[in-house]
Amino acid sequence: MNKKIIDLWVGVFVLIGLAGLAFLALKVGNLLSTTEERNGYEIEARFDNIGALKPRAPVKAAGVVVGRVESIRLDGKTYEAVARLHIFQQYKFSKDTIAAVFTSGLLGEQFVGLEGGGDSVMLKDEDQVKKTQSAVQIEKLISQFLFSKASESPTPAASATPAAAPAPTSATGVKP
Amino acid sequence: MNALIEVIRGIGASVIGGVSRIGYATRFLFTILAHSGTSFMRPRLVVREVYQAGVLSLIIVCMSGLFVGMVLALQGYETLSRYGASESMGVLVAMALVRELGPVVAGLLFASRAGSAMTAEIGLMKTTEQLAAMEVMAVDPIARVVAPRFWGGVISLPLLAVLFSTLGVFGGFLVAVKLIGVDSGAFWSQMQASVDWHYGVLNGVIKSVVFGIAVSLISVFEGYDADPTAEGVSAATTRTVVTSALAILALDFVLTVFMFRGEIN
Amino acid sequence: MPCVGAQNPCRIPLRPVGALPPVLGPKRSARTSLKLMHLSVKTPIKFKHKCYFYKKSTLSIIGMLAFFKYSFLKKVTRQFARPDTIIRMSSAADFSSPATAPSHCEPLVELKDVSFGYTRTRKILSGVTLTVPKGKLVAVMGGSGCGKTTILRLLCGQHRASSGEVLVGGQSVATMDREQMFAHRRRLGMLFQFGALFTDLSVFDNIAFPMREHTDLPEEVIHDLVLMKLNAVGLRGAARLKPSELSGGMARRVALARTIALDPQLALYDEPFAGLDPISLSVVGQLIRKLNDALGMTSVLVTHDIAESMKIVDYIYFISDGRVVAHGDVPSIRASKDPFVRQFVDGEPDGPVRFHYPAKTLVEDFA
Repeated sequence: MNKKIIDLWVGVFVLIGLAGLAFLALKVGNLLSTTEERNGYEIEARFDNIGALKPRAPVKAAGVVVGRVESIRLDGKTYEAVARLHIFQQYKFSKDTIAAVFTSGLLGEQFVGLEGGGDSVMLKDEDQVKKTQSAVQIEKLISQFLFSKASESPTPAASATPAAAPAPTSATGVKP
Repeated sequence: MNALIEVIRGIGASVIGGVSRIGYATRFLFTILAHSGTSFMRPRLVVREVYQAGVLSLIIVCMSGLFVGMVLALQGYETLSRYGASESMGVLVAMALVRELGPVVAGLLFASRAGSAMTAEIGLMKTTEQLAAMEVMAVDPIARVVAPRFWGGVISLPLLAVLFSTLGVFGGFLVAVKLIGVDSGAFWSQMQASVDWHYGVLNGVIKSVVFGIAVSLISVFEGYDADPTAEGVSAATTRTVVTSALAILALDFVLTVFMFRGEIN
Repeated sequence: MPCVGAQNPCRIPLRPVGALPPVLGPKRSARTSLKLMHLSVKTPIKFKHKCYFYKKSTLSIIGMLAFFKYSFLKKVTRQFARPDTIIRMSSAADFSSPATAPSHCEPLVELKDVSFGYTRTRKILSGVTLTVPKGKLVAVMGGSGCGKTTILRLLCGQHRASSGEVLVGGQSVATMDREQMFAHRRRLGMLFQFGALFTDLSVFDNIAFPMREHTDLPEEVIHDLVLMKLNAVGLRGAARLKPSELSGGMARRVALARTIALDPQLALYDEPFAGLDPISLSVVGQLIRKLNDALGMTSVLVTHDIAESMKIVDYIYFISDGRVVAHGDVPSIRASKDPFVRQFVDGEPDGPVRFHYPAKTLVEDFA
């Protein structure tokens, strides 16, 4: 066969191969999100415990994805987890927004939920979310439940209390 | 008693034979790498082999990808619809294809379509003394014949695996959205939310590169090492397909353990 | 047998032989050389050894540049010297007593007491001594499996002798390092038993193959050279065909053209007549003779076709069971009374070479 035709075919082959890779990267995977997703601002939220939250987990408000977790690190001084959240440009949240780590379903992946407040001042780039709520840890929940059950076995009625307010000291609790 | 000793002796001999063959093949790989200069200086040699190995495998790989994707979607629907999660079909199809089926099935197809052809061609060149003729012409057959074929295979397989996955996702899309009626937006968005570029796509490509090296090496090695007779070439071709398939599946396991361990934690 | 060139039995005209400078005469060769020189300024041919140029040079650029001018001049002078060489050899190779001819001329190939075996127990060659003088066409004959082909393999360095010395141009093949072996093979043309044409290349590309691999000649020069080589074997019209489209005789001629593609000093022919019809057979035979003389080559012809080789060769060695059993020039072989030679030349079924494979006696086997 003619060399030119072979070259042409190999060229076509390589190009459609690369196009396939681009398709997998962009359409199937999420290498580059859409432009509106890339444009946005970043805020920080400090949690006592983020549970099994991971980078690239969604940030949702009222169930709508409004951003992604950019990175997670530990603050060496306060021993708090600092999550940087990338929020898409078109969504604005007020200063008194509460960030919480939720689990989708009983065993699903964890995400950050934002609950908008009533403040008229909006969060800007590099702002901090003041109020956060940590992840619910099932192990702690259960151990506390069992512990209280064991210690308060004479008065069964009291056993309901820990379940209602599972972690009095650290697990939950809205910080001021 | 004697029969038992014979059996043990046979097992030992085949183990030693197998290990020394692996050693020989590894040495052969280094020889190829050392003689790859010609391939890079004269890309046309490699382009020709990319045509032979890649372009000519295009149709079988694309068709298989399409059908595998369609079947995956159909089977996935069976299970997922029971949990009311038929929107996750995109995730299922894409995950399975990009991470596993793309590289593995494309590799198997490549071994039987292009690898066997490579083995037969080199084996026949050896049988008809073409390799010896080259050597006597002071042309190194490894540099001129073996290395370009090796690189042609290494370049072709990742591209074929990517196309397999792409066509598979498209096939899944056809079945899920057009046939079953899953919402197209949900299909794509769920897929994008779950398939990670690094863990999904990139690792799949890395796998296919490793498979490309393994299959190409096995193919050219078996061809070069074939007995210069008709049976020798036919046995070598068979060995290429069998060994390649085993190598792909074993390597797939090893690579999966290394790659996805991080994500499981 | 006075000289090689004059005693030419061929009826094919000598003119269109494919050696570029010698047969085209000094005028054309000067032009071509100028053309080459002109082109090589743009695409310098890299030199590794004095007379041979290589593509895959590992020389440093400085060394290459320093070497370049000298080597190129050397090459040009060599090209010019070729016609004289032929004349000199045609006149100087006067063997007054043909029976002892080989020792008279300067030998190109010498085998001294060479033994060889693929395994330690079974010897293919045991103590072979033979000489091929420069410019001669020497046949090595013997029955199938007597080690004829092995001699060629030793000469081109595919195998190394287990004892004894194989000398080509005074250099021992066994002690050559990689570079020397490369140079040695570059000076060598070998015709394989069944041609060994590259089946994925056209006839043209087959002959262009050694040129493209070893030279940086521009494509138009290669084109001309290849067509000249093909013209020499009478197949210029078949340049675009694939080897699978050729008849056996044509394929052998193409292989012959490829063998002489780089104008080798030494041509080795392994059974060039096997499986050819009588016409192709004599065409190939006469081509071998003609090319040997026109290009000033030295040729070793391994064959068992006694009738054809008697017509063309200068000297014959008979090998049996890994030994030289008889040798001599054509008339003395014809006149020989040696029982082995008689059996071989006359084609007797039984003689020194037994009809029966070694076996127990009939009485024992049928008992």
